[in-house]
Amino acid sequence: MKAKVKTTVSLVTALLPAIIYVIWLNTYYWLLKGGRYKSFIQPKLWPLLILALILLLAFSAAFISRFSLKSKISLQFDAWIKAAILILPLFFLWIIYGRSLGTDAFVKRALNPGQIEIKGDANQLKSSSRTSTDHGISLLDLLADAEKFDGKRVATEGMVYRSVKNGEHTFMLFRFAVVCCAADALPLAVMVKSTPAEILDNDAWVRVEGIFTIETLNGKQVTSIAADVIQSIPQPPPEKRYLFF
Amino acid sequence: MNSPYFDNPIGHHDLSQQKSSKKALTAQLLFLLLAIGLLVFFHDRPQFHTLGIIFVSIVLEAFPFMLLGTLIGGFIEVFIPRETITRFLPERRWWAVFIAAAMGVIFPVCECAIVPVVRRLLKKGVPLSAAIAFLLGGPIVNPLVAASTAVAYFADWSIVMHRMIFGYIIAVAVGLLMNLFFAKIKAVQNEVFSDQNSINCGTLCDHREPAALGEKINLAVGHAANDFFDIGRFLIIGAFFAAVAQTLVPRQVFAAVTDTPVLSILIMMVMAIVLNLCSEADAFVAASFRSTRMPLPAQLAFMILGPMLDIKLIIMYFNVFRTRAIVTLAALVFLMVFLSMVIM
Repeated sequence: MKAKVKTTVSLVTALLPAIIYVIWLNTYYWLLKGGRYKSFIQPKLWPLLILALILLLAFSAAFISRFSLKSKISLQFDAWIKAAILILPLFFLWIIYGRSLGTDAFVKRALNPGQIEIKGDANQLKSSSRTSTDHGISLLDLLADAEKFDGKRVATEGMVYRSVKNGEHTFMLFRFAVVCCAADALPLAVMVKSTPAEILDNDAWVRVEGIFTIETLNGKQVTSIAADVIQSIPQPPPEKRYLFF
Repeated sequence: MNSPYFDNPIGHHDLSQQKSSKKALTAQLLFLLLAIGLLVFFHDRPQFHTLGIIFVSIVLEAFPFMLLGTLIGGFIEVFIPRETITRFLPERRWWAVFIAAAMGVIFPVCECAIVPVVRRLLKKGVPLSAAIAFLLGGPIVNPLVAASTAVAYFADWSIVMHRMIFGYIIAVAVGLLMNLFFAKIKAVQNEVFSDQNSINCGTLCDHREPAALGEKINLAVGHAANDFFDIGRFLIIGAFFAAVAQTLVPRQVFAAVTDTPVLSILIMMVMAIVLNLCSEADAFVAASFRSTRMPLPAQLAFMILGPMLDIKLIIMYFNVFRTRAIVTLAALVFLMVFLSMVIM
């Protein structure tokens, strides 16, 4: 019995690379299916995922084709460590799928979380392709063409960031715009002024309607919406929470 | 070629190698425990979600590049004879460094893909100086990076040119200096030259016997599969620490020093090391600092240093170079980028 277990463990150890490739192959397939990968990376990068699928398939096939039962080896601790590290991201994926960057990341990434300056992140987007939301204009389009919308009525969606600094009648409406993956996501935000003050929690998704203006605050040009409609909306599905360049 | 490695899909280490890799193994085990500890005890914290999303995103995006890099390495191993490589990049010719630093123009690879390629090139006889010049210059001096920089800076070609030219000069200079300080054998890990990862090689491992094309392709992919299993973990460990750094360090800290040019260069260089961004995406983050009046040399320092040196890359370099060589390489790159941006 002991010998049988030892043989099985040895065989599994010898096959570990193939097992890891097949697990990752399934993961990339799962991410591609239904566009789940958009929760993490830019939709335009889908060929990269196809490439990963093909290469993982080729690696598994090449490995298995050259594998022979003679290659059974004793249990090797380092091989199991390598394998464990290689599948570690999948445990993180399993736990965090369905979540997205929120207030915590916004506060760390926005260069001035209380006020996003118009000649900063927004203008950078002008030469890039943009994504619109289903309802109203996306924050990306709004900030990229801020001067065009100045003084006009707009409707847009995003997440709430409230800080003491902004006062109780004001909050920041923000979203993240991704270049390649969530690691490089840039926060985009517009100040929302509302009367009376809406009680909204940080990270809540809202649709805001009102007059969009460019104003000067502390010597800097900032964008704001004087909102007359602030409506809680359901959180979009994970693959639709980011905007993409 | 009757080495036991050829029938061993995991790769045996001889006794001395086992001894030397014991420390590394312990460190990797500790890393696993740390990561699993975070996963178990902090999975409901917002900071953990940020960390997890950044970690998974970096890995998902970088894995295809690394798979491709190991595949290219496998094909180099099987299809390009050592003699061909040494003819194009001869050991004692200084100009080999100048060619290698510009190879990204015709061979555009990102920093994640280039490490396994360089590993194979070193094994195949590419001189240390040329390998380092390619390692540092390849992810910057390439058309994809030039295009993304141009988009991020509204087609400001002077910024694109500055990035390419400084990236090239620094890659050449560091390659030449590393050659002065180290013999190849002293700088590169023993494992790179050994066949311990040449698993399932069979009799084709010397690549001199005539073999069918299909067999050779299968062998090349087999090499790639083994390389990936062996070095993929370095990308994951690097991506994890990059995610930790991105989660904990606020960017406002870096934007607070824009009035002091030298300090702003230093701070942006530290940020490049901490953020671990892909060389095709970093220009967008650098450009976002214009709103804080960040001086241009500081933005360039960020874009030049990042593809050469960041947490993820340093950890990946451990699979190719010895510790002393990595420390020297890191110091030289940091110093070169800093000085060139200060005098710019």
